[in-house]
Amino acid sequence: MDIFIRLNDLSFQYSNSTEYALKGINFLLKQGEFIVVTGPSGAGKTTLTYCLNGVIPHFQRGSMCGQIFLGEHQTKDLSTARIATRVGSVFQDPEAQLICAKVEEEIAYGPENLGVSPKEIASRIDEALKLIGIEELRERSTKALSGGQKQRVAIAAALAMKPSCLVLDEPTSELDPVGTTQILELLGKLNREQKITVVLVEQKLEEVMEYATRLVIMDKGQIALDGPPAEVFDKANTLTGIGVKLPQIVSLFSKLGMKGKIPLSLPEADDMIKEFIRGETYGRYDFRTG
Amino acid sequence: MSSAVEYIPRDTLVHRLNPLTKIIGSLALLTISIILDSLLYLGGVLVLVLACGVFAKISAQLLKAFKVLLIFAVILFLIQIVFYRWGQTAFYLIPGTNLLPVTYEGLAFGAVIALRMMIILTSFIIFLSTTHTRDMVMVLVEKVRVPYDYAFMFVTALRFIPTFLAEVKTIQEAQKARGYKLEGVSPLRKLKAYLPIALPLVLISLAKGENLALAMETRAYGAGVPRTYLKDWTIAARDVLSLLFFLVGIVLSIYLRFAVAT
Amino acid sequence: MDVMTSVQVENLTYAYEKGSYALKDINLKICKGEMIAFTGKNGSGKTTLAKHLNGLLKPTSGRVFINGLDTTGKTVSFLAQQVGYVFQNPDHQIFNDTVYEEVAFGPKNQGLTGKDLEQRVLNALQVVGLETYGSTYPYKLSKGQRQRVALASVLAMDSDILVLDEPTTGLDYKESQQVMELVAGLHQKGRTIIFITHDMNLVARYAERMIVMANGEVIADGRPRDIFAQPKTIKSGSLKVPVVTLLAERGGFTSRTVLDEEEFIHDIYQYKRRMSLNVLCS
Repeated sequence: MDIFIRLNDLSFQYSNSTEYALKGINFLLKQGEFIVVTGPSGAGKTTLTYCLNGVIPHFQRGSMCGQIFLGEHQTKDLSTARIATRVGSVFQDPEAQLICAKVEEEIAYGPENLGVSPKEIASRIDEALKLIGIEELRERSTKALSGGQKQRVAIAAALAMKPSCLVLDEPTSELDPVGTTQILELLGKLNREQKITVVLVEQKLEEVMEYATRLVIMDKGQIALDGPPAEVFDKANTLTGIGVKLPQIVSLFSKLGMKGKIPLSLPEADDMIKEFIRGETYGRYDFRTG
Repeated sequence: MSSAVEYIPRDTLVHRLNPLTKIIGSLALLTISIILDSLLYLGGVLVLVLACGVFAKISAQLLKAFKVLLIFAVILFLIQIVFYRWGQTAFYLIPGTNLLPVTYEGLAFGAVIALRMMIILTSFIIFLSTTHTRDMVMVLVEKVRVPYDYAFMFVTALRFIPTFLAEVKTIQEAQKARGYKLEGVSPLRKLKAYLPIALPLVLISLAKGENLALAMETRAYGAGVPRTYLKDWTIAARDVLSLLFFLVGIVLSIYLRFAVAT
Repeated sequence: MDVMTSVQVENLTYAYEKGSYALKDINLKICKGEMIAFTGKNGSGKTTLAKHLNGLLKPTSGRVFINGLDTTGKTVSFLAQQVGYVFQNPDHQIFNDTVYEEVAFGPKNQGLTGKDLEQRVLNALQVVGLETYGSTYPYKLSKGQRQRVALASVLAMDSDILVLDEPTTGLDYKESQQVMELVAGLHQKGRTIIFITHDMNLVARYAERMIVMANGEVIADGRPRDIFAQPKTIKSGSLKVPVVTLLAERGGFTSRTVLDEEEFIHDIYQYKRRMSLNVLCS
């Protein structure tokens, strides 16, 4: 897989802060990955997304050491507009990131800024709406949409810039379970079918596990753990120490003493439970006293 | 809260007209109604304008606004007849005396003024309720060369008004739930009494503003290339026809006023 | 009405505008000292119902009684003595320069001064574990700490009913746990707690009772264990039961509806023991 973004020994300090938000991060993002980033608040997750979408060093004030490469170029040498055509951004607040009053205008906004021809913009709108499955919202006013719909419009608007990667900062934190599932399923689909690279900051690990190819745990401005979800979840004690809530499946199976074999989906878990019931091992629980 | 001049989305010919055509149309109607001074012709124009509103499928909203306009028209009419002192006296407003005479000319003049006002305001209401604010501003950017940044600021401010109103409501509720009262505070202390609402609002607005700026920045705002627009505001055949119609209207009204009347 | 009733809602209907009903004929009785969760998807009416409990909204028809008092004609500030309401986002209320002043705002509005006021504030700060932060600028605190400031500022008004609107939204895991443990502690001391949430793990863990709302109606009212066992209710309420509940049901090794990991583990081991005894005996 091609390396898409590379952070070299990157540190960042916000201008109004006395502490580094990121401390010497080394990070490779490869084309086609679905990375979930999680960790307690203040760990540096949002700052990391800013480094991927060009907000750092272009927009956010502060001091940065180290390098950020997007392909061959350092992002400091590219304009945010250029970066936006390769890395799309979606933010937490569904309301504040919608710039225009109508869905169609919202999706057109980015391409318009880039000087794309009206005909091409129209076809990009069609395409984005279809991809996200929100054709029926085209003429709607953005303020009348539900939170989940707003976030899907934001994703469509980012995709209209034709990026190959999406960076999303807790897009589901203000949504209900229905809206959350919609967004996460959509991201899974975009990654699988459209080969869009996804970097998703998320607290709700439960549902996102089956889509993630890689899980990054951040703590105090550093990357504490980084690897395939099953491997990372195997270090349950480290995660709990950092303050990451284990998905219930994970904590259940580690409590059942099935270390090293953690199912990432329900059907998988069903099979393992059947196996557990049949199995001779009783784990660390003794049935006579347990 | 709905006001009379809110955009009402419908798919009609009037809605599809170029906003510029509609601006010119409203100005043309203003000109026509000033040129014409015959009750009959003005009445005819008003009927045409109202028919246009019905055609634009906004009659329900127009009717609401029209009732208010009617009250204003009556007031305007009364003021005119009282202050118009020329011509032959028809009757006195206070019967049995010769106080406040009302003349025939005064009656006619009052009616003309009232009709003019109704035509002008009705046509602007139709214009505003069939034209999206953004479209109106964008056409000004494109055709009248208003700088995009200012127009964008204006449109975005409009877009965020409902958002901020919702925030104010939540903040008010949160403070009320802690026993906060604004009623019964003396005017001198009013400013201080607003602090519990104003401060959270300012902080939340700043945060929202920053989010908005981030969203714009990551969507190539100020990319340094000439901006394009999804909607191409070319002048279509329907616009040319409408403009011709308005031109004919102005010429006709001049003819009716100056050629026929004398 | 008996003295053990905190909240009584009778045939409550509420319409924002004519014809569009946000709440339809709600009947609900909450006893003193209960801890109850309001659940349902966004727009189902949970918050609208909760806002009727402190008078922020008044019924279009029907009645709401708080500790026996009809809310009709009562102001929010009057009802605040009975019902504390913690909003979802603490930043909608924090406006003072210090945590102490922020917490004192409510009781001051109630007319408290001097030693009484100080006592109330210090008590509330202690309950939420922020007693050393009295002179701190609230916006210097983390989101989780600000949520606790908001909670303290409501606690300081000393109401015996507490409503919390999504108290853990936007908080990380540790912060959420802290807030919920705090609330559970208040419940143990006898307060009536009503909390709105989407998180069924919180419901399973903390709520004695839950109501499920959909389209402005209460479609279910009962113990979480019973409601989690009703697939139809779960579906129409757009809820997601805890994964262990689902797994236990699909695994078929227990007859009860499992609420948490401990129950799951207990039941699965018991089942294994039974199975192995059967094997031994046969």
